[in-house]
Amino acid sequence: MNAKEVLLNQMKWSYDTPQEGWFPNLTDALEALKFEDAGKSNGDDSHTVWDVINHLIYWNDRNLRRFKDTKATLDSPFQDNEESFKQKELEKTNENWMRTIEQAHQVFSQWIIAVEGATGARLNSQLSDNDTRIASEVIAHMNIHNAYHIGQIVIIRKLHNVWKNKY
Amino acid sequence: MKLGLMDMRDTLVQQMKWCYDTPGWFANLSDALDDLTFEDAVKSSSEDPHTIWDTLNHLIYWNDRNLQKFKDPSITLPKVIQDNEQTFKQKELEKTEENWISTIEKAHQVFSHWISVVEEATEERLNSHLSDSDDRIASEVIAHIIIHNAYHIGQIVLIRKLHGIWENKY
Repeated sequence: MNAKEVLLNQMKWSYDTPQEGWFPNLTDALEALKFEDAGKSNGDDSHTVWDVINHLIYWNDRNLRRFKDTKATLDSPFQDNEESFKQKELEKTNENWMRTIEQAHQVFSQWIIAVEGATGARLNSQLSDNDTRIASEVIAHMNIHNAYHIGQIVIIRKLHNVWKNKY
Repeated sequence: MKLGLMDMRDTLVQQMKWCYDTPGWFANLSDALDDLTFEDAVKSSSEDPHTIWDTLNHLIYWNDRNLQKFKDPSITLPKVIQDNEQTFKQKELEKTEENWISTIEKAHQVFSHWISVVEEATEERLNSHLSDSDDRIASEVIAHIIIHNAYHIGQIVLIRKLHGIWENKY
């Protein structure tokens, strides 16, 4: 494998490719999860599944837009990362939860397509004109950050007794 | 001077470091185990039977097993545990502070050892079979171990939050 294949494999395993028992991927982790359970508090100040998904969408999408269009101008990032977990304006309805899930699927699958189509030169250049981090390094970091939070989603589901799984 | 693609080995090593003890976007293993007493490491809930100690046993088991194969391809290891659930439970291990400390030590050892071994590995080694009796490609196994580790490190931090024993930085 070369670096691009490493990154792509990790993205696929974390998104929707069955991995023979290693751990549930994002698609497994969101399967059959109702909006009431996604928004359920853990009884303390830790994040709900919905919060964690918001956070993943926010950062994955932000980096993806830069990677796809190096001239993209984005809003300044949240001052406090905590805000990326809370979409305060978003009402907790089934409709909004479905849309959130869809966004998550979109950004994870779009990332895979974007990296599949990228040249080595693109992966080794700056993420965007005004983001000087090397793209492949950002992607490598994102992959482990995604896995970290997917693990948390599964634990939160266990906690609320809405997880029937094997891992 | 390398042209084109970022080196595959560098990618793996960098990810391993972020997961182990290099500050990055999330709490790494060293942060996750910092100041954790053994009483807290064995706390469980009815909803999730895995304690932090269990999770760490599981990480040590799989990381160590694959590391041994990578280091010595001719090695013969005991048959893999039939039920993965058993990797979480080290039943013979008494839950004492001493044993907790040595479990933490083992975790540090296997994570840091993996980093130094991959740092020194050639691309050829990385792209060959993990071992004589395990025909998975080593780099693929390592890429998978890395995200598997990150997955469980996130869980350790969440369990700490639920038990109110986490001073948040992330």
